[in-house]
Amino acid sequence: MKNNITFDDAYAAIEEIVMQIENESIPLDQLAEKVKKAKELLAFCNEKLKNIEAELKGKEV
Amino acid sequence: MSYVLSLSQLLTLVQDTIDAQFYGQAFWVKCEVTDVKRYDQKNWCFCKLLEKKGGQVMAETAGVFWQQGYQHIRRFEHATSRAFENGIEISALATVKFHPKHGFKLEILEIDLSFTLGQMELARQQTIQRLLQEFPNQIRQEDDLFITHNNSLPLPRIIQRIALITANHSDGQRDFIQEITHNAHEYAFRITGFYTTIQGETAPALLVKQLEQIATKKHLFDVVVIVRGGGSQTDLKPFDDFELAKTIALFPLPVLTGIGHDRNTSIADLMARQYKVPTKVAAALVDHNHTTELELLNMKEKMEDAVSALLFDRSRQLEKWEQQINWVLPNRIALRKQRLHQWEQMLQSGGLRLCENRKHQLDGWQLRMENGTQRLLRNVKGKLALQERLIVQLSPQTILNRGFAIAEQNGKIITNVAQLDVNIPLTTRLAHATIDSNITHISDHEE
Repeated sequence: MKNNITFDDAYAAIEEIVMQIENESIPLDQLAEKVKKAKELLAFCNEKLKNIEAELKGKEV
Repeated sequence: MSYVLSLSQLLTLVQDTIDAQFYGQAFWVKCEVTDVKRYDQKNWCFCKLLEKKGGQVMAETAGVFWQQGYQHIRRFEHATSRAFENGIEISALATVKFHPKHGFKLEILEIDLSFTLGQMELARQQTIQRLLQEFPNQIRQEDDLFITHNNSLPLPRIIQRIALITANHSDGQRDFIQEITHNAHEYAFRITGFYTTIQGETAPALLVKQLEQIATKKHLFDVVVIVRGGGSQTDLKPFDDFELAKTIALFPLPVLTGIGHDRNTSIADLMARQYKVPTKVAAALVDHNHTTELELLNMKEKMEDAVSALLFDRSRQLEKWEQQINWVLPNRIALRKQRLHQWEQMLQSGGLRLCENRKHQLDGWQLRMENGTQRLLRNVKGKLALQERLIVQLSPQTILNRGFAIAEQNGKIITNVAQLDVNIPLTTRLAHATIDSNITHISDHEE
């Protein structure tokens, strides 16, 4: 995963892939690749969220 | 030869004749006195009496003042502030006397003071007018006062270095120095003497010379003091001199005069600062310094008051600040801290909520994606199976198995009768066998 991607970019990319899959507008050849990418993005977003949560909780006095 | 008289006989005859003519009479006569010889102990005075016209002596005789007349000399000097000396013009009541041994004399019984005073005043006014006319920028008159360059000069705040013009060993010198050196405030003065004669005809020029001397080193002095003893020396004439008055009026250092006369004011006095007598000049200088000292003390007091007021103000301000620091600021800090804490909590809970939402969304998406993917694959598989079935059903073998046959000629499938060559055998392919047969008849199917 590229380092310079933001949470919001990743988030938007996931949404787009989900939409494409749901309305079956995705070429089958790209399906596996897209799903793989979506999974990576999901992992990235979840990791980010986990970090943010940890940071937020860590600041508790 | 006629009868010879002795000299005394002749002169007695003259005496008798004169007495016969003039006895018991007195005449007012206007004349100038010269060769004055005074005998103060005896109250006598001998002199010459002259009448001049255009510098020429027109008449001359001896004059004498005995006790009665001598009292008038004293009165004259007192009233006019002039020495009875050579060059004085008088109007006198005289008797005519002749003595065989002492000769001809006019015996003066009385002097007309108003005549001399009038003359003096006239001369004085002339000098003043000349000063006003020749130095209109430096000397002007306002009522009885004369404003000159010199008496307009400001006095230094503290006067210490005095150039003293006086006659050495004079009463004026002694009085002035005594007064100023024994002043009550014990102020120190540095007095430099410039000694000169201040009586007689040469006095004005000598005074001017001393002033010029002082002017060459004026940076060494604060003021010039001119003093002269009072008492019997009452001649003010040198101080009415034009040159002296002019020099004083234009002099660059303030000039203070104490030339010893309470009744009359000389022109020199008018041009300078006049204090009448030496002790008054000394007192004025001491007072001047004392005023400055009082001003300084006053300022010092004011400054101390101002400083303590300022310090008081500042210390109150500091106290106030201290209070603020001790009470107000901690309160404010606590308040801020509390608010920050609240914000922090809001941020945390908000942030966490946001994260939660996002996570939820992501989970949803993941689920939707998985479901979507599976559905999509399932669909594709279904379609593929259908296709496969179709392909199987439509395959030639399947068709042959159903009992259909394929007609070929030269390896080509015949779908139209027009393709047929009747001379070549027709190959008929069945499911499990191939039959070659010759064409005998062709008939079209009815539509």
